[in-house]
Amino acid sequence: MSEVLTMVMPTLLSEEALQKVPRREREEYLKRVIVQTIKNNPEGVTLQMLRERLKLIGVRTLAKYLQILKYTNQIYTRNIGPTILYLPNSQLMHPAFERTFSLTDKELKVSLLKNRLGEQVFIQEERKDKYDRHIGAGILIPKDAFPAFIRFLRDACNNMGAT
Amino acid sequence: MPSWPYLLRSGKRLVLPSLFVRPSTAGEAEIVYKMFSDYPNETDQIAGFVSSMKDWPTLAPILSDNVPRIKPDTEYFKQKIRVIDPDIHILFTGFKIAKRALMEVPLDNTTLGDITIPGVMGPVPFKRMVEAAIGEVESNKAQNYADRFYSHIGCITHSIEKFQIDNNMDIIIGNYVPITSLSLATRQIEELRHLTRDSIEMFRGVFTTASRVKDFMAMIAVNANILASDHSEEIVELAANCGADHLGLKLLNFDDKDPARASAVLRFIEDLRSIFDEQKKSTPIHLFNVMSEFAYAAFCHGATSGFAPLATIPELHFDPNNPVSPELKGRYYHPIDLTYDTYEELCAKTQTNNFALPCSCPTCRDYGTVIRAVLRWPSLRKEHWIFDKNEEMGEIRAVPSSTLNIHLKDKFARSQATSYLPYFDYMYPYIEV
Repeated sequence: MSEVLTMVMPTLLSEEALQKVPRREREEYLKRVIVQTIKNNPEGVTLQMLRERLKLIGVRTLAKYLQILKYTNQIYTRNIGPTILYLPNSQLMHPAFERTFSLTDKELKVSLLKNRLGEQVFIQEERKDKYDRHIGAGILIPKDAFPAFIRFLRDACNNMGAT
Repeated sequence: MPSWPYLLRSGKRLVLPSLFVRPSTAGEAEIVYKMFSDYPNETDQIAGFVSSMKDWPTLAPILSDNVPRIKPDTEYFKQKIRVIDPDIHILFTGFKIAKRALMEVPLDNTTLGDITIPGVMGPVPFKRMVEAAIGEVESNKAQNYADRFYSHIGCITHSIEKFQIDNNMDIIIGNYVPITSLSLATRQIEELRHLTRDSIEMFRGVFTTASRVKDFMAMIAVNANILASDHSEEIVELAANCGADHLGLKLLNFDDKDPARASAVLRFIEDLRSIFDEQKKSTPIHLFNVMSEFAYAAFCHGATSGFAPLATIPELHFDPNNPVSPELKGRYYHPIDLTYDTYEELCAKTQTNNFALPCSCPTCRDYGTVIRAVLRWPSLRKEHWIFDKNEEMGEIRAVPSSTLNIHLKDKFARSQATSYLPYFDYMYPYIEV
């Protein structure tokens, strides 16, 4: 229990500096801080714990960001009684397994991760501008099923070509 | 001195030790642009240029790579390292005109001075606080400035970093406050620590794309006499553990002819470099606001580069024993005596030799004599200075790092700038990798 209470926190911007960051960049920054906090505490954190430590973010905003992070597969949740525990979804197996596919205005990043369900191929959308990168939706595919998924995509592509 | 080039994230090479030039007017910017573009072989030892943020709107039409040109920039000019110095210490220690110029720096749709900060009756522009500070009485000035500014200075961190990124600088300098007063040093160091941490977090956490292709420099602006006090250790600790890619040391109120202060500065640099060595970090230490000759001395004590104004004494040389020259014509750098001579002094020195200029750089070669040179004196002496500094940097780089001080001592012993000689008694044992 004491280990959970002593959370490892990332460095945070001061409130006065953060106030002057434009809204969109601020949102991205705060989401990144939440993800980093959860990654620093792989045993999991609760909303209450985050709220106490991340005073820069209001509780409703925090809950909203957690939902976004969950749906973009950057974190996952586990229910322990009435408490929701937020856990880091992934541990990168090796940076060498990371590949990037460039589309017109965004990139699809493919990486090999390991989480509670085993090795997973993670495909995530990422947009970059001059200043910052914006993480978009992501899907997780078990590594074993990945070849079948590729065959499925090829068939789908061939069918589209045929029509 | 490490003999390998320090590779910046932008892909450019910072060859150590290095010297940067600091143009401050449009005329100087034109000289720098012309020299870097037209004389690649004669300026290849100069690493690049730095501009004050308040001067950049004037210099940008000449030096910025965002400006479309009929004749494109040469590849050689593009390889020069570019830096904008935010010069935030001006808000605390600068002249009124400089403070106001800094407030007028254009940002996206506004100016730096128009950034709002919380006021008693609602948001007020930052420049109003600066104006109020300008008008206040002198007594206890440092304390008043700290009370007034410290709670709001963090508001401009995002804007000054974005300004540098927008202008394609290779090294981004963070926000800072100067350490100016012994009585307030503890508070000023604490505020600097806080701002440096914020600036790094802003750069790496908010400007994530930019932080992959640009380096970050933490700036420590300090009154030189504080480096001779007990606070020196605290500042070394702050500088060594801030985690920036580069460290800038800006000396305020510094006269390099004062041996006590100069020794304190050099000792500070040695201490800092030895901590970096212990930490196995090759963080470059850049010296701002110094004469290039003092930068050479600092190379022997652990510093890796100097940023010097073009053929003038540094902007913030407040020492009354070394006032700004009243000479309108400006001074000519004598390459043998290593002195900055007035036109009359140079005439006296060269009279016995038919007024022949004591230099063989391309500019001096074209004009030949002091009498002919007077027609283009302001630009001639600056071009000549760049050529000479380039040559001197070439000599410094050609010498093995272990004997650099001996080489420089020989050179200065043959000159009239003998006041620098004591600084060459020591050579920092650089680790060769």
